[in-house]
Amino acid sequence: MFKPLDPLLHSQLRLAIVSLLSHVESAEFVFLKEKTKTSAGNLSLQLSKLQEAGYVNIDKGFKGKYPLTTCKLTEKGRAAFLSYIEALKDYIG
Amino acid sequence: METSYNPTDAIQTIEQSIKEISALPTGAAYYFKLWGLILSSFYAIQFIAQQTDSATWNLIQNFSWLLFVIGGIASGVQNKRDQQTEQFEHFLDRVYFYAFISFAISVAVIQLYASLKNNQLNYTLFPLLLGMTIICTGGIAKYYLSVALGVICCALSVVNLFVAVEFVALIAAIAAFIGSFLTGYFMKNRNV
Repeated sequence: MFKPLDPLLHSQLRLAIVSLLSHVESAEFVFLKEKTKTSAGNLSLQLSKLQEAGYVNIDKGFKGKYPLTTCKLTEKGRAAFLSYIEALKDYIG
Repeated sequence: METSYNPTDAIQTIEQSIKEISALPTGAAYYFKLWGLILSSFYAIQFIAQQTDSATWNLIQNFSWLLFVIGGIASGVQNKRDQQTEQFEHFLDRVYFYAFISFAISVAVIQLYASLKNNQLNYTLFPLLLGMTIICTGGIAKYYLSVALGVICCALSVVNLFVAVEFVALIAAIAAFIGSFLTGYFMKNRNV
């Protein structure tokens, strides 16, 4: 019996975001946009979904005169990502 | 759930993300090189001043602590620059920060002890502390060249137990150059 895959993470963009965030302390919105090669609108939408689920913390501030959005994986998000990987192992065998 | 997105695709996504992150340098190379130069210069000055009776070198030795002030200012300026340009905070940044803060505190305490007791213990223990720090950070970062250079530093600490007392500062200078400057140099070259 396969463990169910977290539907929130089983999406290419959201999984890429969480995978990237799992390997850094925090990352700026532009960094995620560049690495995931997606549009700002789509990234913003997926980040909002992850934030609503409590997987990601989003801080809005300023770097000098420019607005800055910083994203960080929460403990809940990290635990969900690890569970997702565990579940994936079952599928791969 | 995206029906066309299967577990194999998910693994590829995760692998790709890990590759992207692993290819990014931490920015620690600059600090390793800077402090390697500062520390090796500091100990080289102590060595030269001990070898000569020159008033000039004694004066330079008395003011050699200024090197640490220069290092502190240069680190602060670089940190400010990094904050302006970096788009992410690498998890290793925190490892390096705490490892080298504890290293600096340990060296300062030993330096103070050696000054108060008027002995050369600081020169013997410095390569050991530097070696331990570099082995730990290299191990965590999985950068094994750094671990090897750390082992050389620890070995130099043992060498310092047996060499004539006039050479202990020189050995400490060599340890700083190998353990810190060379580590930074190789990190920069290999984009670590």
